[in-house]
Amino acid sequence: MVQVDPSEDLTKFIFNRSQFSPLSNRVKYSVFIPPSNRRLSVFRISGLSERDVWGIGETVGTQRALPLLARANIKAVSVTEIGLEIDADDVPPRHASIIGWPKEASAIKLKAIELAGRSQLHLR
Amino acid sequence: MSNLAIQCIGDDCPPFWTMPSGRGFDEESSGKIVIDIEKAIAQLRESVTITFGRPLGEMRFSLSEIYKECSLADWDGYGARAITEDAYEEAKKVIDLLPSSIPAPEIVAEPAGEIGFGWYKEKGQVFALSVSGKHRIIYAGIFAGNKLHGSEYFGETLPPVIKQHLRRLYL
Repeated sequence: MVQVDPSEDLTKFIFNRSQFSPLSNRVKYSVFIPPSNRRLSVFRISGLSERDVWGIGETVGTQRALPLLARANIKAVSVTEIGLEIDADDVPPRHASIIGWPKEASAIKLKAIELAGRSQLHLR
Repeated sequence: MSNLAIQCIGDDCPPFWTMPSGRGFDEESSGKIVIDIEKAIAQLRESVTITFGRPLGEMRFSLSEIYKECSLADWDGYGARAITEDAYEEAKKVIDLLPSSIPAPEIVAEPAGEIGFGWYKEKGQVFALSVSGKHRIIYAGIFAGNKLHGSEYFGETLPPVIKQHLRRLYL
């Protein structure tokens, strides 16, 4: 597994408006609940310009036929500090997955709450 | 004469005590009293009592919007399951059963097809629960560094442990 530096910035693109709050400038925990394959898709964005980061999100959104609405930035160290891992698969380039989720749904929810609390919302 | 039973929903039920009138009532007038009380409770819950921030109707509207928006699979672009009608119905029940003294939650769709409710008092003071229409509440929370999570059977009332955690957050 490719090592991700703890200081790296990761971002999770958001395509559904129920998953963030522009009013309170906050990401909601549901953004960080993994899908059934337990691989939460993120992109490694350190060193990229804002424009390039949004460009990746637009590409992802186009593939999914969904409008890009926002993104949640989070440091790699915030992921590993709570016992999760980052698999930098680089497919597509700069893609990674947050893995190592617990089995219990309630424990997953707790991790998602912790990640949301450590993330920053960026509106498109 | 029939007895009148009123189910008290939540922890902060409005007081029903009034000065005794000294008059009795027949079957017709007792029926009217029941209707009047039901109307009064409905008015309280719609406009004033529930939540400091938003009335009950607004929460129901928010829930129905999320249901409409997320009732097809892949609503989040990452393979999320569709929100089912069962989850929607159970979420409506959660709204109806929330203690009236607790602020309105943020309502979210979750990728597993569940509907979640989140309360954010401040950073490090968070509680969230979700339902999927299977008579279970999944919950997790952080209270000033103390973390907890679990699941409870969800029948006709909110499980006491859920109310206890909400009280811990706000009271």
